[in-house]
Amino acid sequence: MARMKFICDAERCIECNACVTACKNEHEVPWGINRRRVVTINDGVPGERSMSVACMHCSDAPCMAVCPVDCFYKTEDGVVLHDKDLCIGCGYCFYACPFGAPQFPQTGAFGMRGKMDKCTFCAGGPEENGSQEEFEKYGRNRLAEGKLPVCAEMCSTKALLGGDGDVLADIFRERVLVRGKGAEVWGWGTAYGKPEAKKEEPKS
Amino acid sequence: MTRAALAILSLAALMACGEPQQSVQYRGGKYAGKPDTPAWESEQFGADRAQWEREIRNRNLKQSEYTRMKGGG
Repeated sequence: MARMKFICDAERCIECNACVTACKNEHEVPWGINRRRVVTINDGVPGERSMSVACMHCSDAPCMAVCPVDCFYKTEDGVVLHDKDLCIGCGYCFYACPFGAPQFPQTGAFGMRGKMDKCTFCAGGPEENGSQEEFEKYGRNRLAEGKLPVCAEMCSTKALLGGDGDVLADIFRERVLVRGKGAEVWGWGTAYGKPEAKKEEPKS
Repeated sequence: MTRAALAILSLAALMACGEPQQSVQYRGGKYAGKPDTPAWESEQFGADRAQWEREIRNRNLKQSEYTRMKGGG
């Protein structure tokens, strides 16, 4: 049985924000809501790192623990979903989540907080799979179509991977072994060649 | 009598310190969470779980360019 997870390879992410755009487009996410964001650390400094962040579908999800109306549930594949019919938009889950995943649309003239919206791992919600109602509330259900989340599947550098945690771990392990570590991955040596690789000039 | 009541009361107070179950719950080998139609019970897969799992696994593996290169696409 799969345990769905995301993993973002900070060595590969180029901060193109295509995952953010694809997510918004796929699910027709309302204005002001970002189910996925790209976070950059040390922006503009050599060695900066970017990472795509959304709901991480935690095994022990703190949002589930704090929800006063118990609107969260976990599917058999480990995807953390919520029922918008139960959600009261209190915002407790936002404070509990270490990734800032829960988002709240502003409704009404006074910016009232609407019902929570978050990444669904492209798995929709409790409504019937592929129904219009499900799409309007939670976005497209790609898992029911046998597809993985669109953000991961369209990532051009394959920095963002999504799917069964065991398979992802194998992919990532292989990748790390192939590319090496430390200065071999990024930096002067990668861009311009390593000093030891220089050929000695022939003596005349 | 008072001692027994005190013991019961302290036990009840301690119960508040417990953590609710967070992991996926299974009863009789079946998922026992809130009702949601599983992904494989869709128009495309018609409740064929094995086929759905195969499809997802293939998609999963295609995320590794090393596998794609070895397999020749």
